[in-house]
Amino acid sequence: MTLNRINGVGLGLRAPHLHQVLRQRPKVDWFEAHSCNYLGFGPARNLLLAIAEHYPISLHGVSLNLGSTDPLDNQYIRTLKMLADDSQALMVSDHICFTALDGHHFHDLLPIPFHPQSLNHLVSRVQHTQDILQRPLLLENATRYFQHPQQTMSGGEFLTQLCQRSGCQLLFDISNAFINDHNGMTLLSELLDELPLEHITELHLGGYRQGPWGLVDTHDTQVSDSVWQLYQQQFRFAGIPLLIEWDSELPELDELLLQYHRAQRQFQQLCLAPTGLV
Amino acid sequence: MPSNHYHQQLTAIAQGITSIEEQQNQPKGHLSQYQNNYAQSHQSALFTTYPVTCQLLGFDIFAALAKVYCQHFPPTHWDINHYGDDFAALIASQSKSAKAKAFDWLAIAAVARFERLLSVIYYPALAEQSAEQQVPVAMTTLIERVDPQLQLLRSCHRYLRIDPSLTLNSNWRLISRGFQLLLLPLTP
Repeated sequence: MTLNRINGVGLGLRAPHLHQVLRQRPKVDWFEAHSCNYLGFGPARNLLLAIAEHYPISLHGVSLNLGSTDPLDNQYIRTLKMLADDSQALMVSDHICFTALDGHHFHDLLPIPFHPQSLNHLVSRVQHTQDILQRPLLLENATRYFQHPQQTMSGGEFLTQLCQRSGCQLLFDISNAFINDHNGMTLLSELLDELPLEHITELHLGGYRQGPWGLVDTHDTQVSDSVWQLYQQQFRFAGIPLLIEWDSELPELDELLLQYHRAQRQFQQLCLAPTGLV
Repeated sequence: MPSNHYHQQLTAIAQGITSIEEQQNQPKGHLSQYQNNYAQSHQSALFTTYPVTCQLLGFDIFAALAKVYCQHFPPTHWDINHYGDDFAALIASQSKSAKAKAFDWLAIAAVARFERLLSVIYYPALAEQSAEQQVPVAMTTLIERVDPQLQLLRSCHRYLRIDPSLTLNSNWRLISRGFQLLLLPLTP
């Protein structure tokens, strides 16, 4: 099972911008689309496939529900494979979480406890999913607004064993890790030390806001200077494809592209940093 | 197979999110953020699917109905675009409420049913759902009461193309074509 690689800096592709992207063909290395919006057979899918003729595509989902005890939805996985094949998607990703339980869907990335039981459970479901998709999955570290008291493994340890045992890759969301550290959920320095660097295939950066008691992963604003600073400190991430996420309160495409260009400069700067050429 | 303990650990979170009050002795951190996400995302999905209905009712009334709906109708499908199957029925039921005279509830419910149809055909879960849908004259007559020239439908659903030959008080057909949805007369 091979993983096709994507390169450079990507931009989240959102519904209000689809027609404009198709018309104007902005200079973007690749786009990442929320797969759940395009799994049907209507106009939205047609738009994505038209865009896919001009750009490399990555599919990012929120509904595999890998961490749940509900049975996996094989129909959903097969439909996802069909979309991945039709769009020639280079990568397919989802999250380490659960999104539904006992048939009740929450449409949110709910945290699972990190312990050997959940790890065994997740490994099995990831392997099953990858067998249907016929490709390795990329799995993202979600924000966590609380810790399970039953947790016995660190985040880094869990991610490492998950990748090693299942064959999946890691989509490391730097903003989520920053938020979890700020909110006292995970020690960032410990996580960065434990990360399975050889399995990180993509990075995400997105905006956050201050909530009543901590930072909230809202994806509705630009990436903060603090997160950019954190990114620039991580020489280990040099060259790993980077995606800018902005999901709601969307600006006009031109403003989004300004953020994209900033990301490109940051990406190139990090690539040159270890060589001392900056 | 995971043990019951693992299922219980997940259940504690799930129940904490949908309960009106947070459970006591919850794990470190705040379920309130997830409660907030849950309410907001589903209410937001209703605003997205029913923009004309929202304009007809006004933001406050629509938001109140959306909140009630989300509290009593849990989502059962992975696709949030499909949330709100019974929202039109909730609106129609207001014709028998204390606010019966405040709005033309049945006509607004017809608009909501039509907007639901648009959503289903735009995001079909199954191939057969993307096929032609018929809109009976009983529904179009009601829609005409609150959106006589279909201006609101045109402005709120930019992917909807209304055929110039379309007449009100008649049967329509809705088809998916390329990047758009077409609303056409249903000729006998």
